[in-house]
Amino acid sequence: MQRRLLLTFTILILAIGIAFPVAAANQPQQASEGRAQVVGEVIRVGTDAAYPPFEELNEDGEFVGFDIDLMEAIAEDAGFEIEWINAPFDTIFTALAEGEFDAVISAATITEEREEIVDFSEPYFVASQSIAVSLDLAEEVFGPEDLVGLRIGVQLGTTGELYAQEELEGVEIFSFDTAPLAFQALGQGDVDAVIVDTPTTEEILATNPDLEAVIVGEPLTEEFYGIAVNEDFPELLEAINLSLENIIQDGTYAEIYEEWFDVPPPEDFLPDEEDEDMAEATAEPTEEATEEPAG
Amino acid sequence: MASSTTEPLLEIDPPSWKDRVVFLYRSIPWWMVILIITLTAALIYMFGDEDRRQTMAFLADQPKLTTENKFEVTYEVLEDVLIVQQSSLVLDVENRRHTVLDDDIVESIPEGILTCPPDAPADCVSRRGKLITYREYEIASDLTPDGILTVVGLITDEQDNSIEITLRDGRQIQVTPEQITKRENGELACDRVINPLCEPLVGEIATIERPYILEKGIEARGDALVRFDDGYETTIRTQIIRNIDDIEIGCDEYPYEPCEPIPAKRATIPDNIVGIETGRDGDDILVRTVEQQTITIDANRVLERQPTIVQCDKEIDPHCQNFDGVRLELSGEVISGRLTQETDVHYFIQQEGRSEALRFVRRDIVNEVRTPPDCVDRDQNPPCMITFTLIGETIEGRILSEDNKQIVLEIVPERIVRIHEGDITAVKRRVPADCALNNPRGCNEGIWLTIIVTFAAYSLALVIGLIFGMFRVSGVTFLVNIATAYVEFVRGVPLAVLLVIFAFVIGPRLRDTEGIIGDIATEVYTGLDAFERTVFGTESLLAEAVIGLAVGYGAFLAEIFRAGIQSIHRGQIEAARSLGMSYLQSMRHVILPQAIRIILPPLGNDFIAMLKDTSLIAFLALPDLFQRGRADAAASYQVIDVYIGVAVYYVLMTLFLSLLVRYIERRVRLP
Repeated sequence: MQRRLLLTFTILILAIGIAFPVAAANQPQQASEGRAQVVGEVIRVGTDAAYPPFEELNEDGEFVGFDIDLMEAIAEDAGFEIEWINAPFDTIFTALAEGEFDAVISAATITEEREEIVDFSEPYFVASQSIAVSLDLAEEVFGPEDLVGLRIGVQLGTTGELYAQEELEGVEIFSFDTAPLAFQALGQGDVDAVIVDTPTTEEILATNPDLEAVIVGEPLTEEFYGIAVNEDFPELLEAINLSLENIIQDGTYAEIYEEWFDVPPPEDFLPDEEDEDMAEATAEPTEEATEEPAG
Repeated sequence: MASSTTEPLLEIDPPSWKDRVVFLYRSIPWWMVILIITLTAALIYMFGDEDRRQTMAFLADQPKLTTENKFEVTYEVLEDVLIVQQSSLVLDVENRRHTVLDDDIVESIPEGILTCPPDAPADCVSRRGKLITYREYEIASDLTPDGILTVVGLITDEQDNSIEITLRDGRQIQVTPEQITKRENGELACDRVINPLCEPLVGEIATIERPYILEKGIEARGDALVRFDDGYETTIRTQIIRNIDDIEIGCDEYPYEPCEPIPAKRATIPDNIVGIETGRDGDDILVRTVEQQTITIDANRVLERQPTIVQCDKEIDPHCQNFDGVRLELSGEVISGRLTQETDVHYFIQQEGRSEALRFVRRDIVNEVRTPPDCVDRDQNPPCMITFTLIGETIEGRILSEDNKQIVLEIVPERIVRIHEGDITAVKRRVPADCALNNPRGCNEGIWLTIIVTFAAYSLALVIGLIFGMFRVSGVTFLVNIATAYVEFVRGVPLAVLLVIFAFVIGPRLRDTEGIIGDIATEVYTGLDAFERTVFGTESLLAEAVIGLAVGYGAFLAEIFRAGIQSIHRGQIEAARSLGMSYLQSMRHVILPQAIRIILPPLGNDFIAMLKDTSLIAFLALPDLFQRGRADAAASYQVIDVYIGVAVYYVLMTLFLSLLVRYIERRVRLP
C-alpha cells in the first residue's frame, strides 16, 4: 500500500508538473542557435507547393513557380543556398516560428496576426481574392453580395477563408487543405463558389477547362505577399530585403515576372528611372559608345 | 473468565467508509490510475483559462443550455421599387466601358454583332450580344455631330467659358456659352419620379443644343437607380429587376403648375434577408437581422465621446468580431423649414437654399410646432412651416473618417424583420443554428459531427460487413469471390486514400456514367443529398464521407463476421437444416445470435477505432472535431492548446464508448 501510494503521488506530480511548463511554453520555440550568418548557409525555405503559378511540383517532382524563381534569384544575390521544403499551408507559419524552416515563401499575405509570430519582408507582389463559380451560376452571381445562401470553398488558413468568414453573410464555408482540392469540389458541384487568390484562380481555371468555371465580379481585396522569416533570424530578413531590392532595381524581378505572367510588373516593382539610366550606362558601356559617335 | 453466554469467535466490524475507499483505490488497475490522473491534469489545464475554455467550447460547437436561435435562414423576398433612372453598361470593340442612360438609347437589337472598324488594332474581336446604338455627347472636336438634341435646364453656375446646367432629373452638365440658344427666367418642372411633390426649379432657364454622335456597343451589365417606397435609393444591376411595368405618375396631388404626367417604371427586385428565425406570428415569419450601415453625423452634435468595444451579435453570426469603436452621445438637432410632404413614416422638409427636400423619420421627432397651427403639407398660402427637434441618441460604431464638420460612422443596428410567408420567393438557406439543449439539431459540428458520423458509418459498416461476411461463408463460388475481392482490395487501401477516392473520384464518375449504373448512382446520391439537407440543412461531402468510412470498415467487419460464423459448431447448422429451416432462416435464428455474442468484443473494438478514424473526414472539409481544431490553430496559432483540447475530447469520447461497449458485452455474455 505504501509503495502504491508513493508511486501514485509521484505520477500525479509528474503529470501536473508537465502540464504547466507545457502551458508556459506555448510560445513557439526558438530557432536553432548559431544561424547568425547567412552567406554560404543552406537556408530551409518552406512552401505549399500546390499553388500555381507561384509554386507547384512539375512531373519530375521539382519545385517550379514564380515564388521559386524569385527566391532562387534572391538567394543568388545574397549568397546562400536553398533547401525547399513542401509544407501544408494552414500550419506553415507555426512551423516557421517553431524552427522547422528558416523562411517561407508561399504567396502568403502580410497580415497583422501573422506578423505577431513571424517577420515579413518587404512586399514582393500585389494580389487580390477572386470569386470563381461554375458556368451555370455565372448568370446569377456578379459579386460577393450574390453569394448569399451558397456554399463557399476556401483553403484552410488563408486570407480567402478570412474574407469569407468576415465579409460574407449567410454562406456556408468549407475549408479545404489545398486550393486545387477546393476547385475540384467546385467542378463536382460540392461547393458553389471558390474564393482564392486571383493569379492562382486564373491559372487553375486556364489549365483546367473541364472544371467549367469562371471568375465573376471585381477583385475582392488588395493584399501584399511577403516572405516570412523566423523572428530569431533578423540577419536573414535583412539579407532578403536587400536582395529583393537589388533584384527589382537590376531588372531581374521584371524578367521573372514577365516569364510567369506575360506582362511587365507594376511600377513599384520596376527599376527606378534614374537608376535605370545609370544601370544601362554602367552595364553596357560599349553599346553606348557605338550609339553615340564622338562629337 | 468470560461469561457463560455464547460469544462470536471473531469480532468483525462491518466495513467502514474508509475501508471502502481503500478497497476501491486498491482495486483500480494501474493503467486507469495513470489515465485518470493525466486526464484530470489536462482538464484542469484546458478549463483553467478563459481562452482555453473558449477553445474547448469552439471544438464542441459552442453549446448552450437554451437558445432562441433555432434556425439560421436566408430568405429571398421581392420588394417593390420605382425605377428612377436606368443606365446600361456598354462595351465597345476595345473593351472600354461606357455608361449610357436609357434615355439616350436610340436603338437596341437583341442579337447583333459589333464588328471591328477597318482601322482597329490587331487584337480587336467582334462581339455578339445586345447591340445598342446610343447618343454620345462628349464628342471630339474633329467629329461632326450626327444630330442635335434640345434640352432645357437651370443655370446653376456660370464661369467665363463654361456654364453648369442642372437638368430636370438632377444631372449636371457643363456647356459652353455658344451652345445656349435661349435664356430666360422662369420655372422648370422638377423630376417628380424622384420626389412626387417636388417643387419646380425657379431661376434662369437655358435651352441648350446638345450635339451628339451615334455610337454602338454591346450591352454588358447595366445599372439602374431604384427608389424604394420609403424614399431609399440604391443602385442595382438591371439583370435582377423583374416584373417591369410601365406606369404614369399623374398630376392628381401635384399642387404646382406646370404639371405633366410622368412615365416611370414599377418593378420588383429580389432582396435577401439573412438572420435568425425568432418565431412566427400568424402568417408572418420574424427574422432578426444585423445590418451594417454607414451614417454621417454632424460633428457639432457630439456631446460626449468614449472609446468602447462594439459588441457584435455572435448569436446571429458566430464568426463576427467585436471591434474597437466609439460611443457617441448626440444632441437632438433642431430642424425648421416648410413641410412639403407628410406620410405615415416621414416628413419632407424644404429648407431655403437647398434644392432637395430633407426627409425625416417621424418616430425620431419630438416637440413639433407648426406655423400656422394645424396646417398641412398642401397648404400654399401661407405655406406650412414647421419646427421640431430630433431626439438625442447614443450611437456606437467604428469611425471611418472625420473632420471638423462631420463624422462618418459604421454601425451595426439590429432589427426584427417581419416577412409575410407569401412574399418569400426562395428559401436560400435554412440550417439549424445554435447548439443547445433545446435545439439539438443545431449540434452538428465539432464533437457532435464526430459522434454522428461514427454511429452512421458504423451502422452502415455493420450491414456491409454482415452481407459480405455471409457471402464469404455461403459456399456459392461467385459470392465468395466477390466478397474476397472486396475484402482484399479495401483492406489494402489506407482509409484516408479511400475517403478521398470516394469523394473526388468515384462520386462524380459514377454520377456521370451512362446507363443504369449512372442512373442508380445519381439516384442514390440525390437521395443522400436530400437526406442530408433535411437532417443537416445542407449538402456537402458528408454522404461520401460516411459511405467511404463504411466501405472501408465493412471489409474488416466482414472478416469478423466470417470468423464468428465459422466458429459456431457445424452441428448447429446441420441441426437447424434438419429441422427444415432454410439457409437464411438457420442463419437468422440459430447461427447469428450465437456468433454475435462471440464477436462482440472485436466489433466493439472496431467501433471505438471508427471514432478516431472519423478524423479523416477533415480532408473533405467537413467540420468535425479535428477540422475545427485545425481551423482554430490556423487562426490563433495556439497549436499546443488547441490540440490538447482535441486530444482530451477524443479520449473522453473513446472512454465513454469503451464503457458502453463493455456494458453491452457484459449483458450478452455467455454464462
